[in-house]
Amino acid sequence: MTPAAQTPPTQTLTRAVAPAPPRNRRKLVGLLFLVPGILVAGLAIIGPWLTGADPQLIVAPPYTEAGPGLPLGTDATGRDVWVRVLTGGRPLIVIPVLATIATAVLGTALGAAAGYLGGWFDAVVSRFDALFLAFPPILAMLILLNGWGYSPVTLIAAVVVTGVPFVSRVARAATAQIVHSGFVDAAAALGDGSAAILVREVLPNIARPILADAGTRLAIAITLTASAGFLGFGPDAPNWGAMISENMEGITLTPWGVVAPALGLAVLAVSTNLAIDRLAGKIGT
Amino acid sequence: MRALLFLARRLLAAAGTLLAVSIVLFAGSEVLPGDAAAASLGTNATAEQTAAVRAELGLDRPLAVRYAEWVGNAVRGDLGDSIVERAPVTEIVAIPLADTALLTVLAALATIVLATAIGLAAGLRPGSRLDRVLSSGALVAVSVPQFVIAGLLVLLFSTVLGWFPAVSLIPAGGAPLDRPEILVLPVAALTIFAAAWASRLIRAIVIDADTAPNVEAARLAGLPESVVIRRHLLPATVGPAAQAFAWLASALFGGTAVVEQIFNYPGLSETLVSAVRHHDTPVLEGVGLLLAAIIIGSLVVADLVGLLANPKLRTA
Amino acid sequence: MIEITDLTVADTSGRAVLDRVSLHVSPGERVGIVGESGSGKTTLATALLGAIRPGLRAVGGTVTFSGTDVLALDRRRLRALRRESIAYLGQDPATALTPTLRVGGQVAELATDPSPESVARHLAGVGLPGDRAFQRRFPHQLSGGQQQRLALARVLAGDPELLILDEPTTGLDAITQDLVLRQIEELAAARGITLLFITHDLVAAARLSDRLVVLRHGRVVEEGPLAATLSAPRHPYTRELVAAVPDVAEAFEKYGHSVFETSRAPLLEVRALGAGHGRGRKRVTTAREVSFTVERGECVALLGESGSGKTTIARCVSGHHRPDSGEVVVDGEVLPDVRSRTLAQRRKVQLVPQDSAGSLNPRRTVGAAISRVLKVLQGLTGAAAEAETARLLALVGLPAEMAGRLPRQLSGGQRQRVTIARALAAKPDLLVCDEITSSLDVRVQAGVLDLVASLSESEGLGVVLITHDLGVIARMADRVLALRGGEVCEQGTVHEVLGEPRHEWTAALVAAVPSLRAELDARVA
Repeated sequence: MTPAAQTPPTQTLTRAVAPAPPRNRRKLVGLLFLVPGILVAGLAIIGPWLTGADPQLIVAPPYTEAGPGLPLGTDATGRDVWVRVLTGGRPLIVIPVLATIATAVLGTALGAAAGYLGGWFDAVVSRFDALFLAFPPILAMLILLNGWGYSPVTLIAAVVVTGVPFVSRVARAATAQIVHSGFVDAAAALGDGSAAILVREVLPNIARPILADAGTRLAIAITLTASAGFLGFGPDAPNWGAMISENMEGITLTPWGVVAPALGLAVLAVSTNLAIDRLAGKIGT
Repeated sequence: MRALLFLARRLLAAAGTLLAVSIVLFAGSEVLPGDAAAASLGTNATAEQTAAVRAELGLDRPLAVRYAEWVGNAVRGDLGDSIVERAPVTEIVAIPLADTALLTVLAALATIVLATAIGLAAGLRPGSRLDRVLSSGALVAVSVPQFVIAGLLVLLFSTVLGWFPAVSLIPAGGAPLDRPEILVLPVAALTIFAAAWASRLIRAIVIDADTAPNVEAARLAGLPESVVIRRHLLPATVGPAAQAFAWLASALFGGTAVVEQIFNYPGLSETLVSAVRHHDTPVLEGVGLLLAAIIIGSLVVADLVGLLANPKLRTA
Repeated sequence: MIEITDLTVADTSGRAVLDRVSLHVSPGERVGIVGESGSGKTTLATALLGAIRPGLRAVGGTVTFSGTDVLALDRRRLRALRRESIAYLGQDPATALTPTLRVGGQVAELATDPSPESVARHLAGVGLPGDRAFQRRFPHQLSGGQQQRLALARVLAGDPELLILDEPTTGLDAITQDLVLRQIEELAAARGITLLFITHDLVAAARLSDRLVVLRHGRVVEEGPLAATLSAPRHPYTRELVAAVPDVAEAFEKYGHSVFETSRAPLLEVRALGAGHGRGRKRVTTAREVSFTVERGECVALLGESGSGKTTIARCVSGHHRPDSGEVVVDGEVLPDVRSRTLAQRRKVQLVPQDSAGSLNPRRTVGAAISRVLKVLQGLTGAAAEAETARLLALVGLPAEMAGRLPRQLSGGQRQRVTIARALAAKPDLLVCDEITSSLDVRVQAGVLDLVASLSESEGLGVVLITHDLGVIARMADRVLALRGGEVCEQGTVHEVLGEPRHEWTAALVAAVPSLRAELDARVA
């Protein structure tokens, strides 16, 4: 077993691979992509404080068009769409972010440990991954909703259960690449234990692919959370997912009840994904 | 010969995974709180009433016994009875499953064609303007929740242009195929997401194959570009692409769950959502098992395609 | 035939990769282009094919082949040129074979006449069977040597006038390298093909060229007939290059080799070591019943090809691999694996890994890598550690300010020196060096080897040297264990093993080992 070979060539003689833009420019562009996402997320989080109005209050006939006092019109039951947009975004930020952090932490721990320790632990984790990859995320979410009913914890659990296998596979592959490196041997020769080596030597070197993957995980978490609301599993308080399904029928009368929350969701997910894509570099998919 | 042996081993492993899935599925839906007996009686049922219903449904027996019975029956094609409808799950699920399958298969075919075309176009000229446009478009499309895509499609093609119906109205006793025009928007909504997702994978696979030393050598030997791509580059992409497309079964199902709701399409989504609302666990378990079997099955097919496309595995 | 005039190729920042390079090659000539990594030799070779790597640009000069301006050709004409006139064989030729194409197809698609009979002739030309059954095989069904030949048959199928060889033997063992070079030589002679041989290996160049062009930093520093250039180099760089070539025979005379009596208490004693990889049915035994000793100040080499088990044995000694059987004894103590060793035991044995992307943690500075060893194994911190780090860096010939650098800011030779400094920081008694020079240019190699040799002498370090390179052994080792399939097939002093090899493999290796002097002698005669 000779140590890892040189990194494979990323460019070839005969192929026109355009040179990557300089790192700093990539970072700048990445941060710019983050701006709209942060604006929407910020609005969603402070939204409930911006308006004192009750989002459940019926203020006008259903599907009233936008006008003075009603910037986005009313929804299927005559409630103020603008107030509901302001108050209905917070769960779509908080739940996916918490769930993504939990997924990344758990998946990285499992995958890195499996890649580093190998043996039976690796075999068990790989089986576990293969097993849970056979569950479509929505199905896992429905099963958990069936058992626990709606709560933020149910949704977080659904995201974690279906996301951990993906993160774990990424972390495992990245770890397996460096586990036979000279620097890991050197740390072992100093008497560092497995945990110390994982934290000090392995983690800093596998962070990039995991961060790149985290963007995808966050977008999926946002989609899943919103889908739950859309399918009717959510709090009684307004949420963007539910708003879209509630107001779909009246889309011909006034589109804002669907378009405003849809736009919020889209900007949030697209901005995160584009930003992570630029910041972390295009590592795999 | 070797391929047959491989297939046999792979099928055995797949059966093992499916068995493990069934355990997780059963344990996941039966151990968690949320009792069908309590749910079917409403909130003001007495303890005796609940116990009686539990006994009737067989819920008072040990979990292991119930699991063994469920799996045993499932192998013979019996997925148990719905608690709410008091009818066999297979019967309840059959028609919605067929309708969802129609949607999924159409979307899968469209996805395979589109994703291959986009992935090749972008992957053969990485960094070009075409690639930047296609890749950014794909990234945007995978990020947006599918019901948002569906909503935008409805807004554009039925509200503004009026080309296709916004709602899948099917005459009583009819099937979606009786009115093919209702399929267009749901399939499009599913395909946009799935094709974007798969095209990103195909692009990466093509780039990977394109930088291989044998492809470079073929170019330096002066072979025409079409020959280089067809004979030297594409064969290496078949296996990985099959793996990527195998996940379509899973990815598309996630989409149908919401897209069907948007269009009021008569598929599995409504069956599942109402099962969750009424704690109709057998329906959920049955559908879950079927889906897992389909997903695991498509992974086996992908492995087989990879095997046949690789002479090293095929002949060694 | 080839006329390159003042070719200048620059990267996007304007740095010249090739700087006003001119080259004239007449039909039937055999020209060797020699340079270290980064000299621009590959860029020069592929410019002849009209291929300039993305990110680089030809900013001046011309490349003409038989009167046509290669860099100005359109795609169609360029393809015709590559297909009909110029063949290119790159590094590790077997990887140029597409695994899904059968042997016959590999040759036929490039042949001027694609009939099975013609393909059979081309295959026979490189010593491969041309029958139908063979033509229907896939590349993976051929041996490594057959794959090399098939790759050669493939590029020669179009009856080219010029064959460009770009390091085709790098990474091959001495015996295979010898075979490949001989084959190319015969084919080129028989078919009158002009050869352009790009290599970092002066000895290989000496075998296959009549004229030598020495390239450094994108410039031609010396050019002339082979024998004259090598025996009386004019440019100091060429002199340095020639002097650094490991030559077994010369090294024998030049470097002292001590004969150590096996003492009653050797520094290292490996007793009946057995080890393997994998588990269950896939378990492969990579070392069987290996025993040897190392005395203080002695350098013992483990010689073998890849897969011979030499690295596994070294990792058992350093404690990074757990043996299945046998013992590793240092200073009379049986050592467990590295994690179970006491602080003192860990200090005594240090591993120097091959320089690769992973020999140093890419996220940690050189200084941090060394000072962590000082802290854990020596208890040194703060200013004391800083001073010691500087001393160690100076010891391996690096300036103290290197401590602030990250590994990617260093060259391969510098990184290898840092790994040696890191090992020395432990104040070890035994150094285990795993192929520490195989990825370095010859001039850098010589420096690293001299460094380890002088340290071994001055500090009384025992050294276990893992290598596949007889030149390295002749220069460094006192004793040799030749390993074949995990077993010791021959052992003895360097003079015994290299001078009068007894085992057939060692004998073949010694016979195949290239020697610059022998090549030159053969030329003059």
